[in-house]
Amino acid sequence: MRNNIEENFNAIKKLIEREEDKAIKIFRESNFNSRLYNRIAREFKKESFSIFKLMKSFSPIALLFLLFTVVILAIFIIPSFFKPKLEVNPIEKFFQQASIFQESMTKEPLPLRDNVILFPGKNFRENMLNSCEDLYFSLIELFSNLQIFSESDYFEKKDSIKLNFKENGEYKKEFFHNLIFQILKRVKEG
Amino acid sequence: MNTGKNKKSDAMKLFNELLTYKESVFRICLGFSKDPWDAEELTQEVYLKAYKKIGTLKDPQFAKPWLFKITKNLCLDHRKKNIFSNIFKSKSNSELIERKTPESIFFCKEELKNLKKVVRNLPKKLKEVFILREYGHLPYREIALILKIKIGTVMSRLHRARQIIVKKLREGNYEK
Repeated sequence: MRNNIEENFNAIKKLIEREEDKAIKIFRESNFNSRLYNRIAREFKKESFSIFKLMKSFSPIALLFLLFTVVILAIFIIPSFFKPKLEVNPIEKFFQQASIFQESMTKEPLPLRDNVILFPGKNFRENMLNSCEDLYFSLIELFSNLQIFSESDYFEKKDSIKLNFKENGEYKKEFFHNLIFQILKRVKEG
Repeated sequence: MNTGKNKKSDAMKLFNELLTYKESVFRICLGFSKDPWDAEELTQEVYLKAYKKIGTLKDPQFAKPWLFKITKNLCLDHRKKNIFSNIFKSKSNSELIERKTPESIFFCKEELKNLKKVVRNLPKKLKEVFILREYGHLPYREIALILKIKIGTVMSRLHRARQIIVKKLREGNYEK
């Protein structure tokens, strides 16, 4: 059986050999190497487009501007996306403001009128007023967070603080005393 | 910088070495394709791919089987791509007749066309072994290396391929 196949296959093999001989003759005449190198050169000319080549075509000023923009983006803008947004606890904020206020109160204020006090030194007075204002804001914020003040109460109080604070740097003691009194009363009432 | 240049010159040296196998590559392509003109196109494609990928070749010792592996894969892909276009056009036959050289007349002969049909319709595993052996004249060991199979498997597949070809040609059953 095996011999029979091989005998029959010999004729096929001869046909393949003849086919190969004729084909090889055509192939040898075809100047394959030079055609191949031409094709490689053509293909690589097409593929040689790159970002560096594109950059070469830019003017130096444009390149500098591009580089500057990239540096600015890298230094200032991109890191801000990754900064975690801190949520300040209102109680912590209140105690922070309270300690600042306490520090600013260590110097004796000068009494001007019955219920108005002016602090000595312009900077000192401003610091004092600012820290005091911040303290009351955070206090109101704290109490509204603890649901002692309603939302409308919160805005009303905030506005009145603003009104009572910024009158030529005057500090209306009575108003704030009243405010604290109201707050404490509400806390007591629960 | 120098190492980069050295690498490039080494690659070019290796590529030029691979070019010495161009006739073997062409023979294998001939086995997979219809005629020598088609095979020549395929050979060009093989070397173009080899040129692009030569940097990825880790061991130059295996450059030859690597090249034949590219040849085999590219020819199989080419066949797949052209399977539909060949149904609709019989362009190459008419071209061959137009050329009317002794070679072109030979490639139009019925018996060769029938053999090509039978080989083309062999199962893929048998076809690749048959072409690498009968057209590429590669030793069993190299075929085993290219196809990642055992030498015994190469021999048995080759025998089965020959058996099918003889049987189909005798019966005149050239299509699947």
